[in-house]
Amino acid sequence: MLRVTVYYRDSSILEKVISTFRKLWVDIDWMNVRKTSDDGLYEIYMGVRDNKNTYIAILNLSKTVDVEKVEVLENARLVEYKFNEKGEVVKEGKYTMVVYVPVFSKVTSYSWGEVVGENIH
Amino acid sequence: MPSGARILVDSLKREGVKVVFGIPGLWNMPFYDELFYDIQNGEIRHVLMRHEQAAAHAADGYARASGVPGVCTATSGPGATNLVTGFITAYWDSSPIIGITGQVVRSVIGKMAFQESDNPGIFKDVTKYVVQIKDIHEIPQWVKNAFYIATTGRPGPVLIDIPRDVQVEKVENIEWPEKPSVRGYKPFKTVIDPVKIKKAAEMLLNAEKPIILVGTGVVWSGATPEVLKLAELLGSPIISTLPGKSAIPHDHPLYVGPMGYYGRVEASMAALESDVMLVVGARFSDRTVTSYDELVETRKKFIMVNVDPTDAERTIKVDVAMPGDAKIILRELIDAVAKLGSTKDHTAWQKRVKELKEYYAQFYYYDEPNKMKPWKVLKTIRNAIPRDAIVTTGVGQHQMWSEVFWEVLEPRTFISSTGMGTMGFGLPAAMGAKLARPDKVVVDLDGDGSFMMTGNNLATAVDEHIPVISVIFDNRTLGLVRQVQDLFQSKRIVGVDYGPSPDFVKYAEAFGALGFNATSYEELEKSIKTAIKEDMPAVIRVPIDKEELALPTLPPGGRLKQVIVRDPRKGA
Repeated sequence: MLRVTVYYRDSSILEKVISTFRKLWVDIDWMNVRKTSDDGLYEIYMGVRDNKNTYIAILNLSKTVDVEKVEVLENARLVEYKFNEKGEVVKEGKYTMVVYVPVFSKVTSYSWGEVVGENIH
Repeated sequence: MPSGARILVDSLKREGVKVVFGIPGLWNMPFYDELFYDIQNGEIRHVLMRHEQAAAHAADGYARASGVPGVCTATSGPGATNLVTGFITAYWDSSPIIGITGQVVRSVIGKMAFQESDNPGIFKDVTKYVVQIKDIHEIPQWVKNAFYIATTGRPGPVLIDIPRDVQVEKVENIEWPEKPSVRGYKPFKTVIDPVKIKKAAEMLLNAEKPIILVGTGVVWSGATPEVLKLAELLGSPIISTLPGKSAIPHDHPLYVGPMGYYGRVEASMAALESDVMLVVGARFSDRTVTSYDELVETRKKFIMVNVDPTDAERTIKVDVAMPGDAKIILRELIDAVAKLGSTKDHTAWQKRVKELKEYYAQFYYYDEPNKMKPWKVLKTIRNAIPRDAIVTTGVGQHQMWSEVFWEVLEPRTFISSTGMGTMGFGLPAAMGAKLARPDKVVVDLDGDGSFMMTGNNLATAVDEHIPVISVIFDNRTLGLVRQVQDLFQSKRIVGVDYGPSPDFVKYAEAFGALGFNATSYEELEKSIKTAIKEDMPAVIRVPIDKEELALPTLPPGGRLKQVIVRDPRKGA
């Protein structure tokens, strides 16, 4: 699981993030994107498949213009919430949307090809 | 009140731009309308190319010959899409070029307007960065940023896409930025780690068979003197990648040659036999190291100096990785080596490398009566032009012959599309190089197939008086593909052989250039000297036998040890 912090100039930033994985044949399972500041900082949570190219893709993404940092969320698991059309969390039955919430205990941060931080949560 | 186009031109001038290669069209016309004044007063030279691909290659040649970014421009739609090949070529070879594309007006973007192309989408994967300007006030900052991004870290191409109405719009006050401001961008750091420097120095000093592999990074950081000094201190042979040829004078006694797929066998064998390899400004590309297992199996130690810290992570486990500028780190390494004292005696290792050189020379320099041999053609050209002359190449067999036989004598004088292998690169890149270094003789070593892909730009060379010499190795075939079909696809020769068209002498003359048919080495030498003396664009056609092979080579997917040095069609 990754948390990618990017500067938004236009929506092509999402294409750039996605194509970094596409070019190395790394599949993306899910993404959750939101604006986190008025000056265009966005936070992307995403689940990517682990294969022999994943680490290279992470390094490549970390040295992409507009990308502030890429954080690998380690010892992570997903807590899944299902919502019905009224926006209520449902445990069983019909739902319209699923939200994945990553829960993790360690973060390794990459910026321009280098590890810039390691934190225990 | 200045227009967006005026601000764009002034921004480029503030970055020191003197030459713009391009073609005008509906969507970059306001930019041209303002360039008019600067062209008139001689502050900017515009070079009207015959195809946008060539404009990008010319900017690339300009950048590689001068070390500063080359600039090209095109209109939206077909003009912009024609730039794509040139941009990916520059991207793969880490060359800093700046593209300015016109765009349809803001109100119709995304609505399939006439000549609309999604330039941010199209260029995002073939550039280091692409930015679409949405507001006139952004122009000065983004031009400055573009040059900053293109030239720092690993150099690369940047495209600025500007809607026509932004170019036309006027503004009362404009703020000129003093420095770049790009969020989410950091040039790679140079990390001086004394522990790593010492460890690398010890590894090199204790090595029995050290070797230094140099790449393009040495050219861009200007680290040739440091590489030579370190090699001399250690008594270490130097080998290179194909583009790294441009970093080392080939008459230096420690230089062995370029290693790799079509490289010199003695360089590849020395690479395999070495026990410690210092890699400077190079990555382990699949063209240099055809089998990573083969290199790993040698159990040698690797030290890597590269501006991009991730290059040490990609293929082979590097024992000491020192990210940063080659010149700065090599200076530290030289100091550490000098401080630690004497190195092991490498006389035996140097003797072994000399043996390899002498052994493989018997396969390279054979002559055949009544045939122009590529090695001898290149030797004739080398002897006929100054030491500091710049050569470019197209892509094909002639490029491989140039890899093996062309003697680079000054840094930054060998320019070739090595990462992307773009046919048609040679002539426009030569034109760009000539404008960057007008005092130098510039020769495009080309093939008949490659030359014809952008040969129409000879018209520009004549119109603009850009006296470059194209020497065409004319074998009337796409020789490199042909030889793979011949050797490895059961001689099924398909889709590669050309007919008699064109006559290259008449072709050149039709454009107003000099045309020569050099059927002997003497005629070749005379043609080159005449072309230099006449100071005109020239095309010299040299007939090459269609059956001539680019050797050494490897079978597809082969290891360096599987090298083919003799024509296998002629038996053992």
